Amino acid sequence: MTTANEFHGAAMEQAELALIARLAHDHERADALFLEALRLELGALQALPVSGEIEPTRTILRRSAATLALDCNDPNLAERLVAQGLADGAPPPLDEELRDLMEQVHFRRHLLLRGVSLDDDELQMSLAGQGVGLGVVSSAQFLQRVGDTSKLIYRIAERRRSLPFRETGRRRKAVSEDYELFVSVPRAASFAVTLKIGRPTDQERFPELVDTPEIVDEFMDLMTMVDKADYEGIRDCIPDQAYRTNFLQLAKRLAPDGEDVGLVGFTSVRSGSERFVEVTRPKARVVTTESLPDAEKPERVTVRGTLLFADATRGDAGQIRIVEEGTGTVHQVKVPEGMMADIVKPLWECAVEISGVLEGKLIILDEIDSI
Amino acid sequence: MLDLGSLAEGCPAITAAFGQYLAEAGSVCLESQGHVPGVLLSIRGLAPQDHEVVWPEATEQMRRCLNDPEVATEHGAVGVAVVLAKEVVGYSVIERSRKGTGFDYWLGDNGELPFQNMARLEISGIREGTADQIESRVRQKLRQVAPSDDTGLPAYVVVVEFGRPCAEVRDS
Repeated sequence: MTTANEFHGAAMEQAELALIARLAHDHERADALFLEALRLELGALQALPVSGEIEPTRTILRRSAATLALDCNDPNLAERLVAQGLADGAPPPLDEELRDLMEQVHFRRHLLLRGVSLDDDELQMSLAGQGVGLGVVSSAQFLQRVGDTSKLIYRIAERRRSLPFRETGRRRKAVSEDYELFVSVPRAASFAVTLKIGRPTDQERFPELVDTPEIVDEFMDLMTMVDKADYEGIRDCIPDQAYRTNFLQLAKRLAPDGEDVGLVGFTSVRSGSERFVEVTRPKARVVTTESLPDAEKPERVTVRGTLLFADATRGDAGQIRIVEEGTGTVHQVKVPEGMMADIVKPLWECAVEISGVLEGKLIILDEIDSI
Repeated sequence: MLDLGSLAEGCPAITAAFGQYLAEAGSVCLESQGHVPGVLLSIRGLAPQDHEVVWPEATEQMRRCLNDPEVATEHGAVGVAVVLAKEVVGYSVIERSRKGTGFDYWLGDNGELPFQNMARLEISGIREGTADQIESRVRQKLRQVAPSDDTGLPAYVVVVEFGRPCAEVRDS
């Protein structure tokens, strides 16, 4: 193989096979194929003549190789390729595409640990976006996500201990103590912290207790599925409806808002290798309701007001009331199992916007957010 | 007639394996909108005409594999556009490069170097959209590929909407 055409053609064949392997969740094969595709694409770049008219070929090959470098989790190489392309005066509109790719490179760099070591019971959470400065972020954006991550971890622990979904009341003291979440000092990456999860102290005496690294792994698996909209995978992993509703609602709150925060990333370490989950799917596109055929979709309503009444005594579904400001109109809202404790309760007495479907005089709650 | 199944035979810039995947993505998207093989795809813009479309029946395994609606729509649109390019523009896709979550595709004649004297085929998919949404996507894609000076590259924009189904084909 000697010409740029030959190298590039072979690289794309490997990349196509890699994409198919990745879609089939054969990640080991996908990684090997992407690595080979990258090697061949770099070969195509080297095979280009040193003089003469070689645009747009050079820029397209560089962009392709940089994308493959990201596929291979090598953001440093991707950064160099993009920077070379821009420095050499990439033709428009390819120059803009290189700049877009550089944004992705920066996102990926935020997920790198940069010398920080993580134990197997730790996660790094990184936030990036327009509202995130180097080491600085709005406390609301940060604290809410730490709180929601903590709730998610506890819920995974409770579910894996085969405990029924806890709609009301405090979590068991043992669960709270065993899997308590600790937060490190933040670091500039744009904004990253280490989340350390407690370990059960009686693991040796009670082997049925869920080991913390398993919880970290499941958290990473589930957030990957959220970003890929793999709702079937989530259903397989969380068959219990209440736990699943709870997970999807919390995951939606964790997801980027698409304005101030464009990326929420998580990093863990297993067998010496870093594992990343980049959640770029904005919360508006995280689906929290089970899908229905179009013909069966009921009428949706949206209401704004103050959450002033909550009744969690009804077992599998509580009720809340939303009072519209100005008119004083009261809307009765039924809260599906899985939402009351972690999603609705923290918004007590807050101005909220809710959406749901009408069932008689009741609104069946789908989503609730503070305004 | 546009046969998505023909993608599985491969073409100059798409391997048979990937062509089959693109055909499956197209099948999943079309069937998700209640269409059956033989439905008419309305082409607008360049060479407006209705084309009958056929495809291999989508299996449950295909649907599970293509469970990310955005990825399925993106790749389903690529499958339709690649078959369409030959019919409407008169060129087969002969080159591609890695871009984003997939590839970008180029039309033209083979030269000594890849991508020389070629036109880009900018493809976008909408699973189910209104006429306004389709037009808005076409304008957005035309802006993206618009040459800002003499060095700009020629391009064709194909926006495939699976609900009607229809495809807008424009050149920049």
